[in-house]
Amino acid sequence: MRTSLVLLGLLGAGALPGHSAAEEPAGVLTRAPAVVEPAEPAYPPEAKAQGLTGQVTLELEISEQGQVTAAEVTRPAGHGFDEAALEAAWRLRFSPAEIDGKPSAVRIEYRFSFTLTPTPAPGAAAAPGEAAPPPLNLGGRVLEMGTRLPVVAALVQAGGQSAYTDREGRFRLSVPVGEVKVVVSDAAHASFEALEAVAEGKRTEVTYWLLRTSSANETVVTGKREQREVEQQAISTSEIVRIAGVSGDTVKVVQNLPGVARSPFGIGQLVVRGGNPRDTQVYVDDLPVPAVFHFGGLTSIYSSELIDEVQFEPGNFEATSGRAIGGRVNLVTRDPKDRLHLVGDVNTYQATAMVEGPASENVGMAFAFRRSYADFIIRQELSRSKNAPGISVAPRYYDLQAKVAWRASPDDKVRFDFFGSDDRLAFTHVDTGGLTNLDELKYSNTFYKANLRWDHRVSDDTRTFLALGGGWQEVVGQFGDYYTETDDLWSTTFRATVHHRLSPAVELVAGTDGQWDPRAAVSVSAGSLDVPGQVSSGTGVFVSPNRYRTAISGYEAGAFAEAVLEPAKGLRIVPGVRADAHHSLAALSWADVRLNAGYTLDEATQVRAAVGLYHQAPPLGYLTTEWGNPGLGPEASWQYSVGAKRWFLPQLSLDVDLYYKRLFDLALPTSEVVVRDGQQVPLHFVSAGTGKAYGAEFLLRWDPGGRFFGWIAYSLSRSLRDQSVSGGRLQQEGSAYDQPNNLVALGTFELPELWTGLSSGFRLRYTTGNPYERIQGAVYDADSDAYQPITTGRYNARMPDFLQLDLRVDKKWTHRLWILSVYIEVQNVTARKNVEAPAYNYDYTKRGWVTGIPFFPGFGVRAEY
Amino acid sequence: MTHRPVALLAGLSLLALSAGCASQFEGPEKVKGLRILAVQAEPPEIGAALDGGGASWPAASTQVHTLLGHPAFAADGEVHGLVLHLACTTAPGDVAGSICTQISELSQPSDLIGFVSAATACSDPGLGVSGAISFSGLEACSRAGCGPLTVLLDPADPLSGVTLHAPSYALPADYSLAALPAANTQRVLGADVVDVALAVEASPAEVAPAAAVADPCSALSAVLTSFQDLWPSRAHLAALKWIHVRGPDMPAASPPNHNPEVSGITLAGTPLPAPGGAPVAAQAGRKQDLLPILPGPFDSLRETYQRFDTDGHYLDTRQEDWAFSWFVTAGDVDNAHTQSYDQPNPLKPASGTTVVWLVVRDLRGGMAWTAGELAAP
Repeated sequence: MRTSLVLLGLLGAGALPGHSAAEEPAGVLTRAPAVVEPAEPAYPPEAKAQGLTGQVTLELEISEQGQVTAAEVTRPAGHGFDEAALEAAWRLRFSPAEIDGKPSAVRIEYRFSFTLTPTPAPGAAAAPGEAAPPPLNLGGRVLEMGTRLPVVAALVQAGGQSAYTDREGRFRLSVPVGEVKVVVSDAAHASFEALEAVAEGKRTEVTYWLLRTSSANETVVTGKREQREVEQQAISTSEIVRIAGVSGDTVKVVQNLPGVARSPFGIGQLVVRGGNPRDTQVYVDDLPVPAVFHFGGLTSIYSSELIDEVQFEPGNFEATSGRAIGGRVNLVTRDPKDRLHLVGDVNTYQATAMVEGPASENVGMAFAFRRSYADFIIRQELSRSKNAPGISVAPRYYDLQAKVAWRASPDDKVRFDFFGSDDRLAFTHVDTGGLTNLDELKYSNTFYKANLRWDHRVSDDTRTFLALGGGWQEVVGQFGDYYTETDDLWSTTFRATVHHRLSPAVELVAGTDGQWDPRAAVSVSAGSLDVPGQVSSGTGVFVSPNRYRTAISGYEAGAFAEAVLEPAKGLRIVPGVRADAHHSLAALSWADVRLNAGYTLDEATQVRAAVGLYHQAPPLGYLTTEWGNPGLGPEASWQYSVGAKRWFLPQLSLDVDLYYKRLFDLALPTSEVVVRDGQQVPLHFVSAGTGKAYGAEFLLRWDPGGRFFGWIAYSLSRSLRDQSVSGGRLQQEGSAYDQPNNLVALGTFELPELWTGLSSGFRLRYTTGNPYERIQGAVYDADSDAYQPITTGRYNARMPDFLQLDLRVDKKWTHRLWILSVYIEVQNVTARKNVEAPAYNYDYTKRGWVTGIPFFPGFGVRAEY
Repeated sequence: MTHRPVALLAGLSLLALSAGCASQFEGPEKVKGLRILAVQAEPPEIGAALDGGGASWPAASTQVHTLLGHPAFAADGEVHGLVLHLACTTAPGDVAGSICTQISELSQPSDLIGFVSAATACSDPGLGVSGAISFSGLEACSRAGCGPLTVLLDPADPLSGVTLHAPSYALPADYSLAALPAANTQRVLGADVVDVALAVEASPAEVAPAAAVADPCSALSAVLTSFQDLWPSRAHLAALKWIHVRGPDMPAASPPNHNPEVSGITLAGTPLPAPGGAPVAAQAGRKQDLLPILPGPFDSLRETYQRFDTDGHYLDTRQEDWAFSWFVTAGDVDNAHTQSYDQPNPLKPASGTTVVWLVVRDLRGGMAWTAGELAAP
């Protein structure tokens, strides 16, 4: 008879419905709890007599000290197993879990297995009462294949004796001399058997390698923030890497969540709750970044290897973030691991290398580098093409990340991050099919950023966080004579917060964040902006381009304060206020107030509601006199949402959210003219745009931790603007992103029955077709030999609905020291011609479509040490 | 203040992503119906009389010509299209645009005729009105080109023909950019007059007075009315041509623009005769190169000019780059446009007679054209 146990997964990063705030710190799991005192349940006699076996799964709450404070059977086995498991669970003791480097209460899933094994041979074990205890002559370690991590609490049986491995995977047994059969079992790993020759008077040292089984996933932080009063979805990277259709890209996974419309061509725009892409702010570790994707959408600029989780709030984010009227995406990067870890990953588009490990006991380092090799492929392909453009630089990108984390003391953690990205292409003599070709088509976007973070616990009630960063960005673009841009920008970023708990029911948070650009040299040459409602000459840009050159010194800064109040058990109210200032080509300032509330109805149900005012500065181009209006004010929105979350099973939850967003003071193209410096000039924009977005979002999610994970996300939404203007825009905006129905179903199954290490995933996406304006006529521009469409700015038609199925198969070979994985991913397996945009013939009398990716296979190989 | 080059990225992304997966349409080079292929102002740049003078100062008026394409031109010499020209003259310093370029008006462009005073159209045809729309003239187009429109004052009297005003444009006498404040960029960059060409598939007889009229003014009035009436029921289209008004402070080093010159087309080295003559014989289905014929060396024909930005600051000095647009009534040409005078454009002729048009543009408002004809068995 034996019982085995395993820590299956951390269910919440210190989060439990109904828990007090003291037990629910927000943050990132930095150390998982490990069993330090195993407990073996008593085998129920009746079950044993009947030869019954069973497996009991429990949920345990573990205190900051590692004690079990609550235990509940979630998957019973009956026959007395449940009671025995529950009794044993209370005797378990763990090493404390850490969140953001601090001991924290967590909830975990734990499993006891009751199995019957042959009774050890008589005499094999030392008889009680003998004069001297037998020597511990068999010892060693139990490690996990591939990761080389110790297997904690594995049961080792030999010669009628048994022992559990400790937190380092070590065990000691006293076994009879001679050949001994050793059985190592652990619910998370495949059982292991070996024959050992134990010699008289000698200690036999062994190392056993266990293969992790499919039924027990890696410890996964699902990162549910049940304590949050707004909808926030956090996705662990272990989920992301196997999701079909996103090629392991962390940020693109966000596009599969409720509230996010599908962007045209699948590029990286984040169209959140009917807002413009620019309305959603993207951060890396809470600091804004100049670009999220290589080439505007191919893949994100930060290696997934070093991202811990992606936090996504589609709206109503708290006052601790600002200067955005849409949603918030934060890439939370992780600390380097405390063991040597090497990763090499080569796929269809790019190659990644990563190394990390400890530099000393308290210092960890990591470095990752990624480069695309599309340039080699494109160069080869174009060299075979007859009318191909010349290539100066074939499209390519690279990015790199480096980080050093130093745990200076139990209360201090310091981390230095450096990351950068470089995109580049340069073509010559590009045939546009028009009157002129592009002599040069050039684009490069290079930036590097460095951040220093200091996380300090002043006392049990007070924490401070300080981040200082700096960076440089260079943008070079040329689109023939139509558009040239050269930017050289230096910037610094900062963020400082203080958390102080006044009482068990009151926590205060205050801080400041911002960006200072000591020097931003911007040079743009482009055509003038069309006057709204007017047709302009197509040759104007060749004769008199608009030219803008400036060196700006500007800043954006904000200060915020919020209180986390818990006036009653299960009720949390978070009022917040922030004030921001923007100073660049315009001097803007505003104040926002926000209120978020959440109430835990019972262990499985939570409701939430929020209201808030949000502001953001218009993009820089909108504030120039050349293409914009320096007199524009900030754009704003009032956001309202109510929602609920309910767990139906420990791993199955449903989120439902309703939202309404009122947009106002949006930059709206105008044909008005004003007198500036003694002459009439177009005003271009006024802060008069209004609109609304509303909808309902559903997320049915099965969390990782078993053989399946996945979700079904459905968004029902409308995005409407009260004004329609033809032309005069710098970006596509407003109603263009109205996508009423958006359904994403995805999942990944592990299939060990077919092949050990095999898993398969799918993603099915359905969305309503995007709106567009059906062109009713055109006028011939004799100077540019091109027809100019007669447009009204009103979206009067929709493209056909979008439907795409992606599939992915992963296979993992786990060796003792390393893991080899391969995957095949096929996007659009049905080769459906999904419409992405309308296309017209030369005079706009015939309409067709531009379709998206065809049947598109990709593959990758990954080796991990 | 995080900088994201959105416009550039969007352009790049769309260019890359749309490549190879867009619907395929027939190109603009195939003339399958009534088409305006070019509108020329000769000269393309004018100057207000009040703003300058001398030999280098451009005239205050210009003649406007239309190149109309129609597949029937390969078969006969009849008139198949009429073109009515209107012009909008924005007041000096005005940047708000005009009714001629207003999208709401261009959705029903024939309505623009209603803004023209018939009396003024008759008394001062071709004379611009500052801040308003004016009548420029009428053309009748056959394969020989577009020429003056002649209509009968009395349908019963074949000798009562009267030729209506051929399209032209002259700046108002009191028009002056020099009167603008010194900082106004139009003093350097100049302004634009917009010519609207309205073409309708019709013959002169269809717009001529249905009953006898007393004078040419009445005939013009009747033609304008008939033109408007025919518009909805016939093939029609509108074109815009910007006539540049020279700024008084534009340096003399950047002389007024002239139209480019082109004298003919060769097919496999053989000059094509003008349509209506004896067409060159070609082999159907076999690709042969089309090339422009220039009246002289290209470098001596193209002009040097200075560019200024929209603030009126000098940018650079450039030589013109010409672009060549090709049109055929039948057969297939490889390129709708070529960018060099010596870049051949392969044509695969179809059986029958084919009219080929070549339009040369200097990309700053100047243009010229030529036409030829070939026949394949």
